[in-house]
Amino acid sequence: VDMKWKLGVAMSSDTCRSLRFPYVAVTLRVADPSGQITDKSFEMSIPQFKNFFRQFKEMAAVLETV
Amino acid sequence: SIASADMDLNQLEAFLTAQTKKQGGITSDQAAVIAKFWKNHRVKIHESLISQSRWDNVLKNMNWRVDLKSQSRHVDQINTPVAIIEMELGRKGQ
Repeated sequence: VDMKWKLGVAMSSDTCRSLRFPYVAVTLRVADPSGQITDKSFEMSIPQFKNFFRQFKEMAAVLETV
Repeated sequence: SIASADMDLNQLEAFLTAQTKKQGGITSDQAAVIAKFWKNHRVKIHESLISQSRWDNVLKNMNWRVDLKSQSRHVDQINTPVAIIEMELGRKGQ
């Protein structure tokens, strides 16, 4: 139904003072067959996000050709 | 201290030199061993510390499929390509 994203950088934590870890956080708003809406959130590191992006590019290419 | 600050080589050298000068500090041989260890393992250690600081859901797996709707109650949906995506989300280790 909807998708929100943000790009963040984790700067510091209790286990590591200097994290400097960039990540992409996504929230998907999904409707199940009954119409019930739930929010699903997850984070990706930049390499994980690149893979995510690549999968969508592949899908888009297939959708174009079908 | 080295891991927590994710020291680069300059910072490392300065830090270790300071440690060798302290009373009850390390020897320069020990400093050299620590420096070599950090240079070799810095990335892995940093990644491990990062993963200890991530506790939200991650995308564990993703599968997708493109279907072509050929027949439907609603005529305007015929020959509509649809992408169906399955995402597995979970805490790391789950």
